[in-house]
Amino acid sequence: MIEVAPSAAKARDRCEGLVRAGEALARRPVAEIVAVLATACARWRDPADPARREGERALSRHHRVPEAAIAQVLDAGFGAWTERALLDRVAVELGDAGAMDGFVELGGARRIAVGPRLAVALASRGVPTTPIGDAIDLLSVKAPVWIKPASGSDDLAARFAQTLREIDPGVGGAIEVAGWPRDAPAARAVLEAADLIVATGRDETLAGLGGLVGDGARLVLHGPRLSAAILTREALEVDLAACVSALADDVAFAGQAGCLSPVVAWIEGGGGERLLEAVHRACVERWPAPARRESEHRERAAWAEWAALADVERAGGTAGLVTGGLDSGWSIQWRARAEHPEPPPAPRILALAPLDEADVAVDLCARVRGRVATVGIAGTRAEIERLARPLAHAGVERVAPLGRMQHPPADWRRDGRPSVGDLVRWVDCEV
Amino acid sequence: MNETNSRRADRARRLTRDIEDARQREVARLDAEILEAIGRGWDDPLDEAAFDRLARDVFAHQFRFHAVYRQFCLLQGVGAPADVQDWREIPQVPTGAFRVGRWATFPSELDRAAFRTSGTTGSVRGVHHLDTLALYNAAIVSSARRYLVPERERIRCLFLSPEPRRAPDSSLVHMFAVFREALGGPGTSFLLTGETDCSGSEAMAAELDRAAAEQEAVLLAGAALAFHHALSGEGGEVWSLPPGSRAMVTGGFKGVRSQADPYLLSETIERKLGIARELQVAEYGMTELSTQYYDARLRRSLCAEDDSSGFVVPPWARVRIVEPADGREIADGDVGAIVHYDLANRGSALALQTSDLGARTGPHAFELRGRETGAEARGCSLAADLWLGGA
Repeated sequence: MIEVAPSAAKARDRCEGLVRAGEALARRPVAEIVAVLATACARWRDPADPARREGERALSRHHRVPEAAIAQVLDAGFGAWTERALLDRVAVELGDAGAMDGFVELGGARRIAVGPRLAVALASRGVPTTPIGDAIDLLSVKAPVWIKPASGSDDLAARFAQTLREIDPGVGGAIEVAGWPRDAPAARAVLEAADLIVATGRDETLAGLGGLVGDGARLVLHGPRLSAAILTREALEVDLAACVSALADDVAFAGQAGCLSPVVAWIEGGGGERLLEAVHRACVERWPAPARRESEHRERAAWAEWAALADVERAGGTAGLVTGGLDSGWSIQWRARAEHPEPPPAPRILALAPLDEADVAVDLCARVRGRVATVGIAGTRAEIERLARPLAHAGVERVAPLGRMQHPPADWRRDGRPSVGDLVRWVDCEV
Repeated sequence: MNETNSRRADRARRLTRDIEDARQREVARLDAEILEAIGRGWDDPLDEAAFDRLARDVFAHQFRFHAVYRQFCLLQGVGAPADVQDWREIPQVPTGAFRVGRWATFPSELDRAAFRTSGTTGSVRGVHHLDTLALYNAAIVSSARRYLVPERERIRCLFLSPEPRRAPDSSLVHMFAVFREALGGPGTSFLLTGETDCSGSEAMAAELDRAAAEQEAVLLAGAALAFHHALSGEGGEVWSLPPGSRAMVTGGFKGVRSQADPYLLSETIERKLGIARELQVAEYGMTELSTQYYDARLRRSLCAEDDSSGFVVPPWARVRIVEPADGREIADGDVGAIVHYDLANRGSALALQTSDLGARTGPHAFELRGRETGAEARGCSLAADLWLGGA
């Protein structure tokens, strides 16, 4: 269970403790901090590590899926966070990793990058490792961080914080993972204490944040994103089974909870009806139907309305069959024509739709410009490179081979922005 | 060959005309019966058998004259109207159907009104087409009279909304326009002029000053967010409205403004306007429906009758609370998806499936559960937020 901050006074005390831990971090070399983070990630990549094994069991219970499904999420989530990759990211984004430790020659001046005094990361429900990414980003710039998990989310972030404390109490002391009830006094106390708020969530949630944070605090907001897949004619002809497998790897990851899971797969040349059963089966294999919770009325009601609407569209000739349903946990729909990606009203819904030519996907993505996190393409390297540029101009933030959508590199520009470069303040010293 | 084609075209025209004549005769008969049912209201309510017969007649009409609905019914295993033995078996249309195409049993040239669901930029808005406003208006007046002004003929109405000419496709504003005609007393007005006073708070202040000075009770009506915008300022004016003043609040906050709290709003209305909670009526409606639901607290307070808890379902409608996975009706008090059966929806969808959650609180009453924090922001309050430039 996520610890809940009990009162405003106690929350303020914890904030002060975090700030003190951050001051200690500021005196340590960034390479040393990154090494601690990378060691913790390595432990979470190790299937034999006791913390990871216990975490797999706990997350399996929480998400009501087999431990193997959780293991895949942990492997992918922690896979990219190696010491080299994390340090390179700081160096690339800041121009010199040493800028975190002192003034360095950069451009026309001597410059230092200063992380926030206290950051708060407000997480949304999604892929379990996403809040950990926020923590790693912030600790990489020596910022103490209070992570507020979304209500009802799992406790992976708290477990990761515990690992950090075991490896290095100094770094571990600079991270707090605790939530608070809606409108709790602790919320205002924590938000007012922070000078940087990183928040992930719906537009309206993010829009309401401005009035809650302290004077001068900076907001780094990650609004809703979605992803799409393109299965080119050539790739389907060469190896249809591999296309299905790669699509399911990306779609079913963490139960389609993250923004990198496609919500639509465009099938060049059409004929996607033949894929429905296979895609459905592959998704169920990767993330089986979670056992039903009686409290999940909203999700079931949203799915039921979607399913009825699918029948309406089928009756009107704009959509085809749906394979799967609530019982299997996955619903795969064939649509008569391709439309821009739209978030499904309930989890674990994928639309397949025909494209005459893969290039049409560019226009479809442009209709939701700034909302498409990743387009995964099953095609040759040349085809991916050919499509990448127009997709970039259509507002797509990342283009990846299908099957690799859930494996972005450590220096992935989430939302098209630098990961750590966005978090620091630059100070110039001209002498 | 040309003669054959011409004969075929003539026959097709005659057939179309005959079908349209048949449709219009059926519409006239159904509308007369539905209007009578609404007119009988709560004094002589439709009994179960009468509702069942009329509901299945309306269903048969919709099955006959709406090709997509007919096809939809076939997919649900209903091959003919006679397959439905009870109103509960009528295939339910999801509200999303109003977004994906024209959902009406009549041709577009017969449209008398088209109300649009609220929506944010980029989202597709649903449209409820109406070939007559007679059923719609009758349902509005019958319920409003009973639950908003049970003890008087007319009352000065102050609407926290734009004037009808500025929002011709808003079902909420249309409802207020009907209020104005049917229940509105002298001084009734729409407060969101959309010029200098965006929140309506200045216009509202002037009207409330006037009501207080004249000791004339008012009905202040609007979406929850409109009330929130008008009253949420720190401090500000406080009125002690004349006895008998009341408020009608519709829609929740639905995630648009996370800092807004419906319970705080009720407290604010009481503190700033002097309208006691028992005179604050909650209304629940949706663009896709022709019938609205009210809670009975004002009627209970003023007339000492109607002990229904939650939203009361009028006699010409029914509500079922179902398990979303299989459509099975669930026990009183348990939470499920709300399914509406609205006779006044003769021209669109009698049976309407929503993803709103509710629980039955009595034989003809239900309460909403968690609509305010719904996954999809929609409804009257979202429209209000758009009028006020907030979304």
